Amino acid sequence: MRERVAVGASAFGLVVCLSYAVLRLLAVGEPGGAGTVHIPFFWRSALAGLHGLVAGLAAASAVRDSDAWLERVPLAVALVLSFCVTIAVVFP
Amino acid sequence: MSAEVLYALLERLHGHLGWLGLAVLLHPVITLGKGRGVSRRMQLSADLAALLMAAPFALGAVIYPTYRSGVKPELVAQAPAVAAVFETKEHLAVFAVALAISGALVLRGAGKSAAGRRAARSMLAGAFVCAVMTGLAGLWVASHAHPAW
Repeated sequence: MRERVAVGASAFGLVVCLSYAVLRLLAVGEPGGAGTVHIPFFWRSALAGLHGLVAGLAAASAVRDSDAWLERVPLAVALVLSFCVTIAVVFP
Repeated sequence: MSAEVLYALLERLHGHLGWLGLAVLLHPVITLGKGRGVSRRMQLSADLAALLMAAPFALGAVIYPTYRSGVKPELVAQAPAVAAVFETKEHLAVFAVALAISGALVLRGAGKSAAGRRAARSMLAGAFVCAVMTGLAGLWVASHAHPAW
C-alpha cells in the first residue's frame, strides 16, 4: 500500500510539472503572456494539479512493480525538469 | 491596518517562508545522498520542507490579485524585463512545490527501499534547484520593483 502511494506521488509531481509547462506552451502568443496583466496563473496551476492527481491515482492503481517504476524516476525527473525549466525561461 | 500595509506584510512573509522552506529542503537532499536508511528526522525535515514550500505558494495566491491590479500594470509598462522574470519565478515555484510535496510523499511511502530513496532524493533535489532559482528571481524582482508604499 505504501509503495503504491510512492508510485502515485512520483507520477503526481512529474505530471504537474509537465502539464503546467505544456499549458504554458499552449498559451504562447495568446493574451496572458508577461506583457499583459491578465495571466491565469492559478487556474493553470489548479488544472496542472488536477492532471497530476488523476495521473497519480492512475499510476498508483495500475503499476504492479513499484521498485521498477521508482528506479526510473530520477531519469524522468531530469528529463521533465529540463523541459519545464526551458519552457519557464524561454516563455515567461 | 490598511490594504497596502497588509499586502507588504504578506509579501514579506511569503518571501521569508519561501527561503526558510529552501533551507529545510537542503537537509533531506544532503542526508539522502549519504546512502543510509530513512531516519525519523529525515522524514520530518522532508515533510516540513514540503509544508514550508506549499505555505508561501498559498500566500502568493492570497496576494496575487493585489499584485496584479496594484503592482503589475506599472511593472509591465516601466520594466517589462523585470515582469518577465517575475513570470518565470511563478512557473519555477509551481515545479518546486509539486516536486517537494511528491518527494516527501515518495520518501514516506517507499523510504525503506533504495529505489524509493533515490526517487525521493531526485525529486527533492529537483525541487531544491527550482526553489533556488525561484528565490533568487524573487529577490531580484523585489529589489527592482518594490511598490513605493
